[in-house]
Amino acid sequence: MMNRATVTAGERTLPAGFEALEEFAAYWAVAGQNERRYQRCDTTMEEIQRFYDAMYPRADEAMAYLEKFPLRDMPGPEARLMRMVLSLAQASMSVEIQGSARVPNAPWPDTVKILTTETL
Amino acid sequence: MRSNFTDAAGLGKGPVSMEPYRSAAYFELERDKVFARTWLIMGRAEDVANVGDYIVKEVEICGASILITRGAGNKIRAFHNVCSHRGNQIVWEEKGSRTTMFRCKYHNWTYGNDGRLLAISDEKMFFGVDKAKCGLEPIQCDVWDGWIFINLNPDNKVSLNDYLGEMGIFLSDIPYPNPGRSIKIQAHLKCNWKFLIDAFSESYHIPVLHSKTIGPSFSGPSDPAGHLQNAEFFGPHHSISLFGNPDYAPTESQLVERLAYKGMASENVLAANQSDETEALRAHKSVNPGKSETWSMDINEIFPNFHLDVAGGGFWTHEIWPITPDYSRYEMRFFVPKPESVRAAFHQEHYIARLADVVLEDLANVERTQKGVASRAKNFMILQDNEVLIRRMMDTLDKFTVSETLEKALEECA
Repeated sequence: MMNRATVTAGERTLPAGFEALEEFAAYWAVAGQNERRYQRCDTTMEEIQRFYDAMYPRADEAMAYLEKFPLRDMPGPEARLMRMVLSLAQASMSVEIQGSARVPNAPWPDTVKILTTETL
Repeated sequence: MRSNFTDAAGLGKGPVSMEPYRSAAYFELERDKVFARTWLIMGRAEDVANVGDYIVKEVEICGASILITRGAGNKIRAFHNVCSHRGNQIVWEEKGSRTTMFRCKYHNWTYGNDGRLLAISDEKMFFGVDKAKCGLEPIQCDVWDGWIFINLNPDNKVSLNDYLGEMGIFLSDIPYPNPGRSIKIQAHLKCNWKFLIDAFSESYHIPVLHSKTIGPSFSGPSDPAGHLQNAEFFGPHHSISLFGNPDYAPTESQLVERLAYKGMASENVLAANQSDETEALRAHKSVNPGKSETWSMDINEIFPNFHLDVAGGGFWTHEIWPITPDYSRYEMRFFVPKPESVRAAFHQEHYIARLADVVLEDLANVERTQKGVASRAKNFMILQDNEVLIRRMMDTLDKFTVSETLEKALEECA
């Protein structure tokens, strides 16, 4: 599984004011809970920590900003910012709970799939 | 040591054989005497919410593909997903909605969602087919409290209500929040199905195996081992209540968890809903039936392979499906509200992410247990009182596998 968020030509990557987070968008702004979980599990603790350290301080502000847009119909830059906020929840499992990128002593890749009825 | 629950279940206290976990012969008995004649969970009535909706479920151990439909008059039916013509599968997708008919993609034989054969393409070239006798093969199907069950034995005489017995009465009318929306965690495991049943049937392992993920909320200073709060036994089915740490709170450094649960008045970290949305759930007589002050959740096991777990903040299910003696399919469904804001979506992402880690901790473990037991280095399990469900499940399986009929098996378990 090789997931990367794409940006339509002529579109901003992220909304104005969040440019500093743009370097993380391609990897972390992917659609779908299962895909975000995969991204977290398929990278290193260093990369997860770097994303967490950059994203957490902006998360509350990002959610406040995104509340102005319809959850299921956000413009491209806002949708990517939202998906990065959701990826922060995934990254926090490694940083705040496991202390390692993945569940220790569990195989990777594993067969666990998160199947949702809608893709945010 | 306390042995209240094991005594109450009328069970012995000796070691329990590991043979059923690794025996191909026992697996055959489980297929013929358990899965081929007990009522089996297929899902929620909301999974086929509207007339025309259908789902397809596999019962691999019996080699059966099951088509569940909601037809006119809102009747929910089950059929073998097999065309009467030459046996191809009629429906190839897992779910969908067809208001009128199913058409076999092989030769266009067409069936109603009530199973009737409606049309045969190029019928004039056949040799007098009686269409009335060539419908889809029906399977006994019934709905209890919104849960769809089937029975694969065409000669079965035990109703779903009689099969569930006291357990059905005990659990009836629970006001399930969000029964129409679930997120599923699915995995295939290289292990016997009973290791998966066991993995989700006791709390003794939680502070150890899940020390970081849910250990801190399922054990605490007042009960470091997280002992059972209650146990109820009903025929082949049973229910236990788990300890919850009333003092659990995220640590100072769990910044994202704090942010996710900000503005969330919830019962514990397994809460998918706000507290005020689950008041009626918690008020039900059989939710936390012992009315423990230090309660987290109930595990309700409906024999043989369905767990219907209820916590203060919502409910979820486990389905465990044997495929071969050492390969199984696992499906957990969390019934969650539809998020209406970014903050709600963020909370739900955090909630499911944690549970996916918890489940993976269990799943990696069952494959290790499979290897250990298969090595034949040991022949018996040593079980304690808090593992009463594992002992009782083995006892029940032993009774079922030697009973000639389902009726006799249920009598043995009474």
